[in-house]
Amino acid sequence: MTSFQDFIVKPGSPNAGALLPRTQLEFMRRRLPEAFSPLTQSRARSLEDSSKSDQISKNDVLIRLPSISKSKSRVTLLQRWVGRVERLDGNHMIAVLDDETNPKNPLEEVELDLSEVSASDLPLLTVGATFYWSIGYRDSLGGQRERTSMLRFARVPRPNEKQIKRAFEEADELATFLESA
Amino acid sequence: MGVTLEHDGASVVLLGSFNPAIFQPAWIGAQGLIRPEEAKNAEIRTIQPEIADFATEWFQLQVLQNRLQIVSADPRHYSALRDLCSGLFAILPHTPISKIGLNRNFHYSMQSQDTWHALGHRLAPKQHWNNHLRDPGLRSMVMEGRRKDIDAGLVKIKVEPSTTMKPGILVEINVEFSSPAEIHEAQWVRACLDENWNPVMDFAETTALDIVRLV
Repeated sequence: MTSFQDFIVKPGSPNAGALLPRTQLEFMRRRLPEAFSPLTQSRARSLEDSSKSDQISKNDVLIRLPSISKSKSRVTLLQRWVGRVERLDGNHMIAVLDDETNPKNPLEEVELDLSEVSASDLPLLTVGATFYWSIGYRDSLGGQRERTSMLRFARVPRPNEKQIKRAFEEADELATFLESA
Repeated sequence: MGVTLEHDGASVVLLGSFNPAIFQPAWIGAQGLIRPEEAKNAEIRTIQPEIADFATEWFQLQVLQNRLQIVSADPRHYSALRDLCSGLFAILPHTPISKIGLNRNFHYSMQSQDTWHALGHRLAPKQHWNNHLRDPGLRSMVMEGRRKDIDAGLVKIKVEPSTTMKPGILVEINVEFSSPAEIHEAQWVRACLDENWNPVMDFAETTALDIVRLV
């Protein structure tokens, strides 16, 4: 079993694979770097002396891993799309939407007002950019339901010059291969 | 049906060797992986050589030296969660990563105690336990296997009473992928996310719903 709470992770242990997030406060036993401070060394010794039965080596300490925060509201998705910007036209963008809620639906072309785009996403607005659009309800802890429409542009690292050069080289190699076939 | 989805969470957990101190909101913002406002307004709990932990409006990131997890409870941002994880290891491609877990958890409230008990009885019939226990009840169940149509990824499905919904059910679904034997650097993580994120999320939604609809 490689998951769940109440799980003590020891460095190097084959059971170090806890692959579900922890949802409550808990302790994890972790090894400190070689050159840890004298204060920490004395704390580690103290832990060792006070609980030898717990088999804590002097290189081990306990870390309290903070809990995962609970969400302050509940969001219920009604519809979500992945969009690709096809062209920009004044204060509008024309995009093609792929329906992720009903993947069997055909692609749709839509025109969206640029005022729908968050200011911090505007630098990402370019032909070919990908965005996520979702519509749903948000229920606050106070019981208020709001209808929400959220548009967020995908943020992926831009390839550096070396990566671009390599991609072109690979494309050239492939083209040469295809032409020779 | 008598079952209502009250909470939906998704996460990515990576096992490997990390330098927690790198994972600061300002650094992630400078890489363009989150909005500048998100980086600026992140709630930092701790950033130290051994642990990094901060939260933004839509995700929480926790990094230890052997474990990194990104969690979101807002389904509008699950694709962005995948992009963030993928982007981090596009920038840090040589990070050794041995395993990745794609996870969803669902808390459902049940219409009544009777429905709640009925689901427990359906999943774990009590006739085999009645000879040994008085009032046996299901506290937790974990099933392991593989998806029917896809061989990749070991699936674990956990069902237990919800601690937040009473009466309620928690369904946690974890699909675990290991690095290809010859590659331990992070390049494989991006391919794994690209290939598996959407199928795993869809599988989790369908499976969790099928389980709570058993009664």
